[in-house]
Amino acid sequence: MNIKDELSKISTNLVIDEKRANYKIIIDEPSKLIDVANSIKNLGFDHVVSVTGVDYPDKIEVIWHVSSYSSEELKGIDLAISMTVKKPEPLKQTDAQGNINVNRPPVTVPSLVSVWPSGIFSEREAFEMFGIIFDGHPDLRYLMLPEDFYGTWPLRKDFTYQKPKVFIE
Amino acid sequence: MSEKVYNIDDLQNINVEGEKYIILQIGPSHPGSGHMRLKVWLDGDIIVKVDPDIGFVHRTSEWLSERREWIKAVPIVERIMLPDTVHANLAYVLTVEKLLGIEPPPRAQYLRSLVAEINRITSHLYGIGIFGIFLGSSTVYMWAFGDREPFIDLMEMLTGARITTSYIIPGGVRWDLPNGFKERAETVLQYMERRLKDYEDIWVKNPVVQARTINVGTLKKEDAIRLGVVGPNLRASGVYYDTRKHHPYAAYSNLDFEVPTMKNGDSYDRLLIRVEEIKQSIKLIRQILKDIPEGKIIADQIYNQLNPVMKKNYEEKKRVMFPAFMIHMRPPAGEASAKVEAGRGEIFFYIKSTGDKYPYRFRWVTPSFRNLPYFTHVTVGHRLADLPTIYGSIDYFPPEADR
Repeated sequence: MNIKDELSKISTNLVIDEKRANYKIIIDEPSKLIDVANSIKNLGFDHVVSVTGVDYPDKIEVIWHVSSYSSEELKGIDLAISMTVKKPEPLKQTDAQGNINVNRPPVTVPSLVSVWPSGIFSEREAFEMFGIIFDGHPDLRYLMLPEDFYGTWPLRKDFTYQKPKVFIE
Repeated sequence: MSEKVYNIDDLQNINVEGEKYIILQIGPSHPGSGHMRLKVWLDGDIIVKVDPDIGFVHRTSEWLSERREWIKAVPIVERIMLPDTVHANLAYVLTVEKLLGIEPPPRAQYLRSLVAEINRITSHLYGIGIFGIFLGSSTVYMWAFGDREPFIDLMEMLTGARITTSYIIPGGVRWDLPNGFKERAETVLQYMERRLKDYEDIWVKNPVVQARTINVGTLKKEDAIRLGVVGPNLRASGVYYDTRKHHPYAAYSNLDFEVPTMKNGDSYDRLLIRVEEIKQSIKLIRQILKDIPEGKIIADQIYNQLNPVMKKNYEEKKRVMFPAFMIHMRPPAGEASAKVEAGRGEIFFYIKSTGDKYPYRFRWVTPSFRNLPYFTHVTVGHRLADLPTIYGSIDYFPPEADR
């Protein structure tokens, strides 16, 4: 099996890094994601290593890293599935004290837990850190952070740390 | 006692809403090997659902590393994986080297493998010791932690630090083999081989241990693949996968070693596989000390950056001091990922560089985080008294999972 041919059959947007033996499939349409993921799974990629986001000023790239335990030929290959979504404009609100609150809405992408159940915890982590809502995830709750972090999305580049307020002044 | 008979497969997606179960909170204050909370739904003493609530020791390592110079991430990743520092250090450095395009010289590769294998033994002894205390045996806990010391002393002799070594830097390693290291290592290895026999007598082949672990917490091969668990736990379920074989790094492509696998995937197999891997590591350390080639311990690109005083230091003491390059390092724009087989399993790094002073995106996944499905899928259907056995056998370390 020639992995390059098989992967280029699945998607025409294949980026190959020869030096580092890395493969990356770029998904341009969200509706194609689950179909592409299913055909990758049929090739033999059977588990998710990591789900994460990369934050850019106007967009977020969501990356699933998948690998294989069952296929002898694919064990040494790292495959990344990457999908980029546009970020909605942040909403600025001024409250009664005159503070400006910036509300940064989350983005939505399809979840791949139905294809690879091993991504269930990683997708929860990407949700709380980047504000990526995985549509179709069975249990999308906060994993590590407290619930009152909702809306801050700590790993986005525009996150600012709010110092705890002093109780006794 | 519950009168209902449960089938493990039916429990995987059980709905506990509106049902009358006892909810037991285990933790968050140090239930076993670190701070985490297990929320357990019980019918009688049968576990019907477990929800691991992690994050009590979340130390924002990704956030911190994205706001520091590249080299400053080394101490951060080490402090997350305390029993396994060398592997965290090595995985990060491998990723940075892929971005920089630097290849370390062969002697440095062997030294990396050497210190990694010493660290693997300490990590497995740590795991066996914690498993002992989970089953109520403080003897094996004291033994394992005591026998970890000679190996930590070896690391100290080689690197100058017991645990947080920061030994591996982009381009090579920081110290050469000291005088008398080979003889000292041979003594320690012979001692460990003797001790392994004692462990088998008192612990591994102990009928009490066997009664509490055999057929407890079984994860079948297909499920292990589906849930994506890693490391010795994966191999205990019978999957032949080891990052050292399938993504060779350091000197492992030149070394001859076996990857032990087991058949049943129960708690007992997860104990046995750690003992087997200690034996393989002993074999590897002997082989490395015999085959280690002569030569430089740092790549030429880094060596040329050293100033004359540092070069003199390198020639006389075989010590690599940090050139200014390290703090001003700006790897070219691009992305790289690397995998390393740590004591508990596979570490994965994904780093994106924009050619800046700091990493743009710093992502890493630790083995304990990927072993989380054990709590949700394997504990269900067992009695509550089996929960410590399963928790102990997977060698779970909360600070490592939370990062």
